[in-house]
Amino acid sequence: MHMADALVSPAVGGALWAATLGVAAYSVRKAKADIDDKKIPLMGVMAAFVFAAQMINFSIPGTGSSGHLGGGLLLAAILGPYAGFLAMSSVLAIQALFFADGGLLAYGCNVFNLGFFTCFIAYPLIYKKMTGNDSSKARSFAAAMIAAVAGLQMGAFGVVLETLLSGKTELPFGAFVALMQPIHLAIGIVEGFVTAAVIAYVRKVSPRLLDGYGTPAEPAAAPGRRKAIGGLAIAALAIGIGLSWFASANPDGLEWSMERTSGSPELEATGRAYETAATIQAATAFLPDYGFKASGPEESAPAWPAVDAGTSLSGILGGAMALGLSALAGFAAFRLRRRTARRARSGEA
Amino acid sequence: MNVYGLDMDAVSFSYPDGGKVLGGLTLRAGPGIRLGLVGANGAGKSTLLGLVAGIIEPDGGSVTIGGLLLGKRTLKEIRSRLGFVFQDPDDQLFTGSVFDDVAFGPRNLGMEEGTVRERTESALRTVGIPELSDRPPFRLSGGEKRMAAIATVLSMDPGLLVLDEPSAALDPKARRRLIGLLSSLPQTMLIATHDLDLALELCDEVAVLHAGRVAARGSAADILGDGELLDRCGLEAPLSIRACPVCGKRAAL
Amino acid sequence: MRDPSRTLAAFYSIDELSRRRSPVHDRHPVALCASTAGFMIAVASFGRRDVSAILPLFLYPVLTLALADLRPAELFRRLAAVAPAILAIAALNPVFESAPVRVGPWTVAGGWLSFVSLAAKLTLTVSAAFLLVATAGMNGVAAGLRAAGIPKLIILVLQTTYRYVALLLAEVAGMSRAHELRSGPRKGVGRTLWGPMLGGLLLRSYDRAGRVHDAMGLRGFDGEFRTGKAARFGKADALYCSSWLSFFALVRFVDVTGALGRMMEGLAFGVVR
Repeated sequence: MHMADALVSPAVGGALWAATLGVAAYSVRKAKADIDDKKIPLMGVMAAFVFAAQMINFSIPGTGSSGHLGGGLLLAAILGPYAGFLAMSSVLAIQALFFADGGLLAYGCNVFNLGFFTCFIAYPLIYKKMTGNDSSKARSFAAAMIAAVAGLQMGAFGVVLETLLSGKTELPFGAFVALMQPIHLAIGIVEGFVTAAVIAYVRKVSPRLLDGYGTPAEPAAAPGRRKAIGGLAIAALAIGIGLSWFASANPDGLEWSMERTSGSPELEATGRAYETAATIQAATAFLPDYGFKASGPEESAPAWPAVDAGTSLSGILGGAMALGLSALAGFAAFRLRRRTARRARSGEA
Repeated sequence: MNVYGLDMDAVSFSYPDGGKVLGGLTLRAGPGIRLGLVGANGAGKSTLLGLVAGIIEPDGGSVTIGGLLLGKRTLKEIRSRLGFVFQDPDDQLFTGSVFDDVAFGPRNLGMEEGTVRERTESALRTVGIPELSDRPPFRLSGGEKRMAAIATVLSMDPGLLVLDEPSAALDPKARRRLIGLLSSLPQTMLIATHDLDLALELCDEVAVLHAGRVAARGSAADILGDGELLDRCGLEAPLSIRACPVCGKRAAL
Repeated sequence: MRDPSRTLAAFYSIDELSRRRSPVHDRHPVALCASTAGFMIAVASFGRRDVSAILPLFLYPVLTLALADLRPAELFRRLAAVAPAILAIAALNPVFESAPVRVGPWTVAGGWLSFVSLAAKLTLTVSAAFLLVATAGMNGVAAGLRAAGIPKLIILVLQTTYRYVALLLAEVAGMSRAHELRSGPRKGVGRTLWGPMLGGLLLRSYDRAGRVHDAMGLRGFDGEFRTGKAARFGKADALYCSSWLSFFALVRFVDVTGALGRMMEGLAFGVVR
């Protein structure tokens, strides 16, 4: 599944954006050095292919349900890990921008979950290792299956970690893992079947086309390349996780862990005391004292100030008013636009 | 603008996995001539066009454009001399807007953005679609795409136009506009087509390609009027010069 | 959801919207991208139980929608497509967080607060992404990415993807229809066709990429992508961008909702007295 913007905190989203940009910049360098400029249109067209191919529904034998391609592993198999990663990033960008599949702030998370794990871990460290240089049909099938399942399991776990570190839900770790991993086992198996079928077909019809197009020296260069990929994978992961942890100095993330470990729900910053105080204050001054925020004792130096009037009466009243004012502004703008449009039309006529 | 002639001399080509496609082919088109290239599927038309543009390399023989021999070192210059219009405009229009596509060539030639704009606008005016400048290519009709594709090469001011099936998938009106446009352009043209009526109307000369060789070559009227020749090469006479199926009369040429 | 024809239609409609003209469409794409980025960060920075403080941010989508002549229906359709999955996760919140909290005169499970908060964030973020593409379009987004220093190659790949998505979707729509017409009542494509159907499409796409590469090379492409000069970033653009960013900062750092509420309460007290 795609991470949505609603589920990420700026810290987690930003950290994974940074990690994504790092890996992408590195991939650009490698893709440029590796291959001729033929790969430039190839990456774009192949990304478009994956996007379109995701629209085909495949019936899953024996289940009565249907699934579809994800595409990360297939892209890596056709383009190699670097160009494959760039193409997958492109697929995810189109999904996020045009179809609200995933989000803008969560983009880095999605690239990591669906592009990085498949292209830089599942493909080189599982699929390539298992198939070797030439392989039987059965072996290639098993490799695709295991790589697809492993890639999606890592991706699903990524979703869990990112969601929990962001602290936008109340889901406990155990329950979320128990929910995500089995679902993605099923999705991974479908992905494995479809990827294996496509690779088998391409191998039969046009074997030249599978990874290493334009890189005939691949076997000789493989050990160094694998080491590089492995190193890159570990480094990027470490950066991603490290940054996320570090960034979760964000009280949201910490709150979550504190709450889980102590078992006590956080102290709601807005109790009855706050409510009374706010009422008294409002009676004395129109402009509120912004310093007055009734922050709980455990919130020391939060990265983002808590400005929520929350559940107090003034919070509810103010919320209603904020929405009302927004609607009013929107309506006024709408009327204004209509009038200028009409004037423009009559001016033309 | 320079108008370049085309010389192909004893050009042969075979695909690594297949048999010979072209064997010792010789073909000339003088400057300003519109040469039609007809032949059944698999006769080698597309291969020939690819050789002219330097997309594929011949096994033997030579290709000369405007007196310049095509080779690795002259490839850049050769490509600035010719404009290649692909059969599928979607292959040729690969950017986000018609303007950027038409400006793509001039920008790559390193021109100033002002010159690029001038050339782009002039090319779009020539093909008659200046109002589509900001449109993304995938929102154009088939006819508009074709015109845009032609504009992408006209903006580079080529002396030789190579067109692969220019009338494919066009509706009758769009086809008519295309013929009007091409007949108004001064460039030398090499037009590969199955549309023999278009060849008859547009081309000064026609060459029939059959099994990798030039089976015949002559004025459009002579070649396309030779039913026996066309039949032998897997073609049939253009409708416009066949006897009328209703009254049996033949059109005068 | 996975319907190529409908996806294609949605794709076309967004492209159409982005080519309109309005006070928002006319802004420099970098101003639109920057405002969107600021908005996203502001929304995401609110805690999981913040509800009332987020609400003033609705001004942004509502006002933009109106100023850009976009119809809310388009936005709701998008929202409806993604909301169920996220709301399903959000609906677990009350289950896992049942400690009661007071909301005005009522007492509810704490999880409901985070549920509502998540729903609000979902609406806001999906709206912002939609408003960005519906006003800046793909070319505008590309300009924004360029301004942000993203490597050119990545942007070029993205633009090529965008360019060919419509084409390939149309192809897939045709294939799916041809398959449906001959496959009887069965749902989806059977296993024996997985390879040939997708593999065939893949090989055709691969060949197309080759032709596109040729077309680029024939027009002098040497691996360096050259773009024209960007439009000028004018005063109106700066004003647009800075006003929104200031507004987001205000909402983020100052309890606007609380202030509004207290103001109303104060008024009410005054009347009573």
